[in-house]
Amino acid sequence: MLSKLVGYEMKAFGRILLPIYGAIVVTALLLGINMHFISFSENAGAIALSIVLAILVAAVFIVTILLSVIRFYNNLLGREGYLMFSLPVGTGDLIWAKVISSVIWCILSWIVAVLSVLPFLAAPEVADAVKEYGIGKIWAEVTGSLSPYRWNLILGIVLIIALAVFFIVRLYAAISIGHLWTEHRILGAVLAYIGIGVLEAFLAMPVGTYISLYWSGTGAVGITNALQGEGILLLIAAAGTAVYGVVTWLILDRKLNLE
Amino acid sequence: MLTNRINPECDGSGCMIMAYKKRKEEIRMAEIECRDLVKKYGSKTSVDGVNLTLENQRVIGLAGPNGSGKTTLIKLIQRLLTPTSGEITIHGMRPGRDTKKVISYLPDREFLPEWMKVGKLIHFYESFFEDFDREKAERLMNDLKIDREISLKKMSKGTREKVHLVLCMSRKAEIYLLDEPLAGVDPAARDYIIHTILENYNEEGLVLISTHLITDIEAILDEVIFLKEGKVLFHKNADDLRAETGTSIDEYFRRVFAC
Repeated sequence: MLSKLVGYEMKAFGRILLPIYGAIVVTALLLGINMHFISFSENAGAIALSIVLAILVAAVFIVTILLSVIRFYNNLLGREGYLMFSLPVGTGDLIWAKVISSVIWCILSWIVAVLSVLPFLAAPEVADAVKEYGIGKIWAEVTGSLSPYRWNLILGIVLIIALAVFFIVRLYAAISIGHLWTEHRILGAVLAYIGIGVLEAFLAMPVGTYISLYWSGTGAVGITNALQGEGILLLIAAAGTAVYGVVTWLILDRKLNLE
Repeated sequence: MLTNRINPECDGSGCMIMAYKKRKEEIRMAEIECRDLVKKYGSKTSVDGVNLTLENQRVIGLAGPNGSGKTTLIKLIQRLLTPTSGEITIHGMRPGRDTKKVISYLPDREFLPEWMKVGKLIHFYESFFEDFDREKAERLMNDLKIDREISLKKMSKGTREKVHLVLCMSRKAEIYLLDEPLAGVDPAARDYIIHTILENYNEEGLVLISTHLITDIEAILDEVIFLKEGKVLFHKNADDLRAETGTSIDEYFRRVFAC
């Protein structure tokens, strides 16, 4: 059932995000073609297309986050909740489907954003340099220089995904806490989100102090080892996700009151 | 011979009747039980100490004026609301994933995603509900001349309501919860709705219809429940009520709830 729910969510996101991805691809292609023939500094069209591309890339991030929130609120706690909570699936499945699909679309949005810089490689100055130097050689140099940091990079990517999950579930928890209010539930969700932030800041002080003391005690002052730092952040993100996930599940499973 | 095989101590037709009665008793079982059910919204009590036992093979009317708690009671049974106190059981189970497998629910509002096309909605129902009869849904949609490629948002309100009803009644469910299916529709559409319910419900199951338009459904009711200010005024066999009051249920409803 979870895979069916995820499939349904993917379609719901896709109908909004895919057209934006399409617009980015078309703009990037136009920009690439334009830049291939005319130097960027003398090319007003390329400058305009670059601005459009930057706006579209920014829009794709904003829309992805907004959709995560809106889909959760409308599809589970709005009138569509009458359908979703009538399906023979567990509350956990409903939440997981939202989280998984949101994260997949976040990753796709990042990939699209990264790929959107490719047109700049079509500029004659860059293209000539690449041709002269050789793409294989450039690749070997890049991978060679990054090689000592490959675990940092891998863990870094895992951490980015974990943090995305954390922030999504944190938003869901705030919306769910707002749902406990009989009226003005959106206001309740906003206040809950602020409250969560304050609580986190309050908790972060002793935890931060403990971590720095721990490192001092083991001979290291502060987080000098990036891998350890990433590991700690990963643990914090996982713990936070678990706490907010349980809060969300408890409210939707035990305190559901659809308007 | 058959009787003796069922019960060796049995020696004649009397035992056959007993076995038949026992079998009928086994068939007629409690589908829904509410015990001391209370739902409060702040200081307002919407459902106030409701005790009900609803059996299968029955079409039951849940009648009462606006604000009497009909929708709240149905939402509690479907677990879209959390009771303040009391208990509901469906086949002896608390409302949850398993009970949703056997309940086909028609809310009193639009609840399907407007962007979805009719064909996709049929697929959606088929994927999630094992008892969904695709052929029946297709036939009913054909009767209404509904294009599968049209999305709900492009339909009139009346057609959308018919799509909701068709999807709900295309399940061979054990319990149908129909919340105000006749509210806000023209007389011709009412006839269609009543006809569709009668032609398509699972006769082994239970149909609970909430309404304040008794006259339209009086003929199809086996039992009737009158709700007033969240309390059950009475729950009676429809024929018995007519015999006791010497009037139609509709007339009696008007008398009881006269302003």
